[in-house]
Amino acid sequence: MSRKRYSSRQVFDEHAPYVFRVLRYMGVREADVPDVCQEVFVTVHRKIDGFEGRSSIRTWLYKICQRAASDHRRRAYVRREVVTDFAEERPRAVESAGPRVEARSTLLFALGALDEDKRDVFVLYEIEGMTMREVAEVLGCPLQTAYSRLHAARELVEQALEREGGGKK
Amino acid sequence: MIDPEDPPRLIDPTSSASPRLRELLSESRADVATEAQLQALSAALAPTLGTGAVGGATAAKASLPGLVKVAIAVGVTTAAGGAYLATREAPPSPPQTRIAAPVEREAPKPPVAPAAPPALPAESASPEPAPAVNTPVVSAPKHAAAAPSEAELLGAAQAALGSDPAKALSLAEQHARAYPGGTLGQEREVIAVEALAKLGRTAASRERGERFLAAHPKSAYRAKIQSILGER
Repeated sequence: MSRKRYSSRQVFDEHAPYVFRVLRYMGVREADVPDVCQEVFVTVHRKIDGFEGRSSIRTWLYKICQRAASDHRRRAYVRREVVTDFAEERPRAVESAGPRVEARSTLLFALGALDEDKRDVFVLYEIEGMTMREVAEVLGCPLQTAYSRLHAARELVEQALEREGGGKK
Repeated sequence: MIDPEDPPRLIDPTSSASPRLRELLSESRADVATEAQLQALSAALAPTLGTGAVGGATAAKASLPGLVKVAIAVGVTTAAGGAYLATREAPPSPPQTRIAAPVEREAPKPPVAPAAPPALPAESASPEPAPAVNTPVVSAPKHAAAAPSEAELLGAAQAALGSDPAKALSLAEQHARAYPGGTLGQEREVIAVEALAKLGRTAASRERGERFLAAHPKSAYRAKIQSILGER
């Protein structure tokens, strides 16, 4: 079976919305998402010829996003900037910014309760819809470890929402 | 993507998720980029990726952030020959990151960690050498007091290659110290190899170029490096 060959432009056209979302839920600040997204696609352009199709294109892209978000985080530290949207307290302003933005803000707040390993599993499985096998592959951990992280992440997210929301529905 | 062995996802009504979390996840799945965001991004990337289905027509209007400019200038889109040696002009648009004209001639001083604000976790400064923020190389419009970004450093290095390869090399080394695992590491090495060659430091250029080729055998810059080393 021949594998699909991609051009970097095709990858962009088909997956840019996905990359945007992934970066957001990796905690890249909203204002910085377009810049980091560009870094991702410059990297895609540079490496697309080496993409051998052993993993899905989304898995491959996710790894590039991970690297770009991590670099961004480090640069933000160097620049003495605020690093992430994971806030200790939710900004009140988002409540008037529309339900989707508010939902994102709330979820980012809850994800802030997780360490990176658990957050990645949660985002990949619950938001990106990958299978657990794919999740384990992306994260380079045993399947059983991914399951454990997912279980723990779910509990922590629910607890964070309970704490944050109180009686809010 | 469904695997029968996977647990029900929280978005699934049969899962154990609270209604609120389920609602949030449902919203988050629809939380993709807006059309306007995609068009702006597509336009900004057009010089690198070519125009495509999204927003190609708006390419000329978009700003071109520095990182993309560096990738273009170093030759990521035309790595097969020597034509990339000329720094290509950015599209007619106001770039977000503008390289300031005067750059200090002296070699950058050893990195000096700026005084960390009290709120910064101590470990955040330790793993990386701090950039030489006392050697302001470029302006940074977004963050007036910020250290130069990767793109700014390498944009200045690329711009200096033709007229002042020593400065280009110095800026490349500054980038290496500030961003040892940076996104533009390959671009930096291409600039450094070329700068060394232009300075007549042939052995150093060759050694660095060969190290690059060994580390990145499939790099889009392979042909460029080979060309500088006189192998093509």
